[in-house]
Amino acid sequence: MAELAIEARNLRKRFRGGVVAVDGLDIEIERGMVYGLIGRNGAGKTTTLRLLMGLLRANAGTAHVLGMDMWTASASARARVGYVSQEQQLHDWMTVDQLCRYAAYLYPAWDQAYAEHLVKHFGLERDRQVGKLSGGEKRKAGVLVALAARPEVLLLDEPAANFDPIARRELVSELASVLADDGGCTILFSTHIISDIERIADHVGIMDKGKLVTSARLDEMQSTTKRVQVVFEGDTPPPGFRVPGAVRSEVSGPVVSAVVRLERDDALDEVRRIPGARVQVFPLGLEDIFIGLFGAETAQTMTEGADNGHGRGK
Amino acid sequence: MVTAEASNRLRETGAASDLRWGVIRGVLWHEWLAHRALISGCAAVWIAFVWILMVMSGPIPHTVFGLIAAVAFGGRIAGAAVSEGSEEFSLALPPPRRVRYLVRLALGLGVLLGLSVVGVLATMHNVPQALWGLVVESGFTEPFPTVEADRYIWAVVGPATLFAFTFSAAAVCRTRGDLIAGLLLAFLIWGSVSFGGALVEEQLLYRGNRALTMMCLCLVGAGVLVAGGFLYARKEGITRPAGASSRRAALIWLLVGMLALVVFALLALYGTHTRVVTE
Repeated sequence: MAELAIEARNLRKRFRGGVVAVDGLDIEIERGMVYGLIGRNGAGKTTTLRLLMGLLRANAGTAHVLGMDMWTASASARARVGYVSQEQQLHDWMTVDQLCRYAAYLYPAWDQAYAEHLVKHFGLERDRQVGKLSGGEKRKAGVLVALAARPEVLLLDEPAANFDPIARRELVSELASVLADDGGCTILFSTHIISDIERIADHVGIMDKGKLVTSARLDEMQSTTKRVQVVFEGDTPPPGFRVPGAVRSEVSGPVVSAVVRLERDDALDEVRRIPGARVQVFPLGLEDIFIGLFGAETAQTMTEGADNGHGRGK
Repeated sequence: MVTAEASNRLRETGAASDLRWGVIRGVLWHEWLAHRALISGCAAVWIAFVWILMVMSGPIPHTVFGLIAAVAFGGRIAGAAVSEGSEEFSLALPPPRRVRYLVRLALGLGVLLGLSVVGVLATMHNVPQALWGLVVESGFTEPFPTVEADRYIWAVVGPATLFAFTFSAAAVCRTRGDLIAGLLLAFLIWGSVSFGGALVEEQLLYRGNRALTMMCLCLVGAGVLVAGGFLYARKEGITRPAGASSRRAALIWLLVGMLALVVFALLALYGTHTRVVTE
């Protein structure tokens, strides 16, 4: 088995007030993976990343990054991990240049040439105070610090949440180029925008109500999750009929439509053998998979965020 | 691969200690950059008042200046990330919480002690007046009235211990509201120990030099700093679960109110006692 970069076992976080944000989460991310954690707002993605970064203490379970508990990790250990939080609040009084200088003190692998490249690429002014940058620019400054530190593991919490669609595409492209430059960097990023996952992730985990509902390679998830339509000759399907592996199914007259997980190639043979049943299998995009898993309403909010800029940078 | 090479190099050459020093230097540089206006401003006022205008020519002005500086330094240096809202960014960076706490403590207490000790010694030995005498004829031929040394010691110990209280309170706070209430609470606790101790010492032990109170304050101050460091090391990044923050704030303000009453009562007792003794 490949070496794990991130590992959490039975992770649980309950806030005062009784809110259970993460509830027995198990996750394993191998080195070099680009793992997209997706789920609706309040699913527990941000809390999971904060627990992994040692910003919060778990009530139960363990969370390790590069084999270390980040809560107790030393400076040299923490310097191997980069993090961009959802509400990235940098020091407003610092200039972009000072921010880079500060980070250079703290990260032994700090790449100043790359930092300067990113400053230009993101269109940031070096002598401008962070407090005077727009919301999107502040986020870019945070991403800059995280990337130029050349971390072995990078945790990004909704990295493009406040970006307009063009800036979002730019950032995602930048992340993709980082991966091309340095394939050894493990990236875990959370998002509620499906298109972000499709562009860069090679693995995807779906969170709901503090739990990891499913975790798989993106292509594997797309190849095993299909829409199956079964049309019967009569007016209704036979009593008690159920499509094997169905996650969600609908019946409309003699037609049964279902989103199914096909673990085996012959999983539908049993249905095909039913007299008068015509089986059709359709491939699904990630968005359709989400509709299948969470329903149309939730999946729509996950795609709308990408379409309308979702809180354009101020 | 850059990152793996860097981390391997780090392990192989035993450069972890270099990194530790780099981190300490980085945090110190950051803290100086963040608070240079406050520190420079205090130093400028101190130079003007002690060395040029000679307004701080006795223990009382030194004490007042020191107490104001202690609240400002403690609240600002330990609570800056909370008041800016940038704490999560800071806590996600490599410096562990312990290093962050100790470097800030060293900077704040170092500057405060430096200013107050040098200022008090200079005033005690009439150095500013003597130095000015070399340049101009000031007209002052006699030194300032001699004051008991314990009052000068109080001018150093009082602010330093108040700094311990305000620094610890600011470090463990999580919101701006908590920070204000925490500083007030720290001042009131410090005030109750100071005035309560002085009252007990004068009324029960018939000692006016507050030596026991000062020793007590130093011990409590050191304890508060250790406790503050422990709590800061266990402090989580900022999250605001519904209801938790408002309940905590209400509790802190209730404590502030109760302690304010205690301090006023002690002050009243102290004032009555002093008046009776004088009459």
